[in-house]
Amino acid sequence: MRSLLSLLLIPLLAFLSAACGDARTPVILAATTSTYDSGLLEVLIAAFNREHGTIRIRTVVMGSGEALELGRRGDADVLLIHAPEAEEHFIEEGYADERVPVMYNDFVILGPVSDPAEVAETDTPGAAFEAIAQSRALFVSRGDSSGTHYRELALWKTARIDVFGPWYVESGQGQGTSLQIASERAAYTISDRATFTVLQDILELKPLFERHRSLLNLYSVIRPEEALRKGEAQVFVDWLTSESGQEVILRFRHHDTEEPLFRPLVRGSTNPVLPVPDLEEMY
Amino acid sequence: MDPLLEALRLITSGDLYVWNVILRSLQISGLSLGLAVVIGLPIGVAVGLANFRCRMPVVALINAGLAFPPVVVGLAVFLFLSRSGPLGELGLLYTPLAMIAAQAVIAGPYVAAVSLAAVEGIPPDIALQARALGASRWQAIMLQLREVRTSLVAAVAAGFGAIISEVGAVMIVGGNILGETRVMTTAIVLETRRGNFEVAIAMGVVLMFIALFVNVLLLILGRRSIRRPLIA
Repeated sequence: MRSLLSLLLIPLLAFLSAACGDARTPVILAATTSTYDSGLLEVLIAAFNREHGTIRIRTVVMGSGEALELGRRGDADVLLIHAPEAEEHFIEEGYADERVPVMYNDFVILGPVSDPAEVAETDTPGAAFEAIAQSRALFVSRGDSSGTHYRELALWKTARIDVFGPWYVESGQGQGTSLQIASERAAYTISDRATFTVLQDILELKPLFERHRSLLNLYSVIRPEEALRKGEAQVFVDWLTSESGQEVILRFRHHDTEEPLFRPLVRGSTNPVLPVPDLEEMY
Repeated sequence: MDPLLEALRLITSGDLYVWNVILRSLQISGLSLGLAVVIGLPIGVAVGLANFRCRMPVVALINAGLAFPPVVVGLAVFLFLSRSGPLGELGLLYTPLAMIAAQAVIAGPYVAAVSLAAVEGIPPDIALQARALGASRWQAIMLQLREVRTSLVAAVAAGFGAIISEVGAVMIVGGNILGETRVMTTAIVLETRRGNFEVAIAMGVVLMFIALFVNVLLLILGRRSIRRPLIA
């Protein structure tokens, strides 16, 4: 029995000392599922570490709402999220000085190929959502306070829909899972383009409404005031918006898709808050 | 290619990502189990053998620990370790240590409750006889424990089962960070979400194999202990 105990205790102690003895305390990055699940963040962090080998980044993946909450609690040093209104609110509350836009893509309204609500016939996102609600076709919502969920709620508001029935399904899960649920149940849903592009081969969903300027999906980086490792966090923020960071975003592809999943936004030196890019012009 | 075949190829070809996660999983689960045994086993044995006032509430408390939903334990550990929580200064949230703490809390009651039940079942005359034959108090206790060694091994197995298959708590306190806190269960959630089914299946196959292997191993260890002479 005694030898069994020491067998368990020795590695425990070795592990404890190894875990506590590391001088490089990592920066905790709270990022949205879309940036991680697409594989972008792994590539970005690897590139960052080639230039700044001494700063370790730990990525925790969650919805934008949850990431902001971690920022408030002081549990995250950097946030990479896509919920502009909630971000502005976060800054107004005094939890951060600024939000720095880093990259963008767009949201896509997806549905079954048969398109029972005739979403493809509509000409604004609001009209598309109205058509879905009126047809009572299934719609899968993230329902998780993520950036995409916030955007979806804003679109229902635009469509003046505030009564939801059994056709409205809340998955409470990340984008990938929500897309798979929508596909299995032949439902409509909304997704960021990156996650949809990565998963489209296994989904029976078709983009029915897309490339509209009001479907812009803007990702920003925020360094909360409560951050413990402000210095290191700022280095990462600066690198993301530097030429080398932006170059990595531009070149990132899923397998060999032609289109980049995310498009970089190079920061102008005199204008810290960027003008919203014109999607129709960019695509 | 068939995802199942691809999964088997990932396992057998020693795919770096898959094996990194598997080893991390074993490391974290092993250490949590160690901690749970070191704390839970003495408590279970002590409460099982001892006779003291207010014994019933203590036994009830240990058994109640079995019913703690792991995800609630995860939430509690998260709030404790969060920087705005009481132990925030330590900076342990999203580290393997946070996972070990949560899993030890989950598995501890299993180890304690099963060993308590085992020790309670020992006929009291064994200790009396041993003492009558000249054994010291300590020797008498060890003798009793040897009697129920198989059940104590089962207690460890129960703890292991509670740990290795757990996903909610480790996701909350570990954060599923690649190379640090990503274990097989959380990797399966992530890779399924990402549509990488072959990677998820590979982890699933290994996870089931490990669960089977450890339980068989514990069974064999338990058997062997019975054959040993009772008093050396």
